[in-house]
Amino acid sequence: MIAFFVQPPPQSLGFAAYGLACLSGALANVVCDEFLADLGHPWARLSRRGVWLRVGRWLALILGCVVAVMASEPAEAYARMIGVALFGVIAGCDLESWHVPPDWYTIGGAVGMVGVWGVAGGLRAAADAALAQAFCYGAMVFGVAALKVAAAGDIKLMMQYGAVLGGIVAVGWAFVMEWLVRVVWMFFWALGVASREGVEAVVARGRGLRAPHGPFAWLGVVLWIVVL
Amino acid sequence: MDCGALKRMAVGLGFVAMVGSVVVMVEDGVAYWAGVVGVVVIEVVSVGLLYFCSKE
Repeated sequence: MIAFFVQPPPQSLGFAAYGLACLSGALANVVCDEFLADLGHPWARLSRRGVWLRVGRWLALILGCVVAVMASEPAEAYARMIGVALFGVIAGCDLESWHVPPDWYTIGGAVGMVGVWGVAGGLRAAADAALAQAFCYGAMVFGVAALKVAAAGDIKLMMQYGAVLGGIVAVGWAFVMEWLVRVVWMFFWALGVASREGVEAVVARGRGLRAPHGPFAWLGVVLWIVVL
Repeated sequence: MDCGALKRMAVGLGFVAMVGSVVVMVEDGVAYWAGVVGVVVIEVVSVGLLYFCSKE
């Protein structure tokens, strides 16, 4: 079993394109969540709190996916791009709060992506994707309910994330990378707070600290592809 | 119906789905396909329990 999980991810032009699409999703999320709200008019309207937030994310993600499709050659990569584009957009845009019923969004998202894998890679690829999203579902439900380390909204995000990645090996590597990014982010957060408010403030504020999950998850995928 | 108990059951089933998906992944043939069906059924039941309790 250990040997199974230390195999490297497949290196192909399709995965390079996959990385570009995921990178666009990560950038759109980070920009919309962390920076735009602080820039004032007119950029704040693109933030999570603004009316046009989804428009900005859609444009960023669609642009990334157009580049990704242009960079890919295998026919399978085109189908993969459709799925990545669709779910990158969904993950980045908070569609569930914007005229789309949450139940349809959660369940339809994961099932739809398993179907995309089935079209692209056959029944075995669809089954691998179903297992990957089930792994993410179980991990996040356990994390939310038992460990209290994530929010309920992370469940649906990670179900889609697992379905998009299409396999447990990919999910495992991306989780490792995500946590590396998260630890680096927390280090710089602690450094910044300590320099401004002292070490005691780091301890006091660190208890309630919740690092943003979605952007780091997507960044984890990108790092997985780039590093390995 | 005690939703506290149902939620705990849903979390437990989710954990079973997580561990089961890893075990099934390294299987082959009939065991793999039977495992995939089992994991998906367990996940659907878990989602259903959470959905039911969220409406209570």
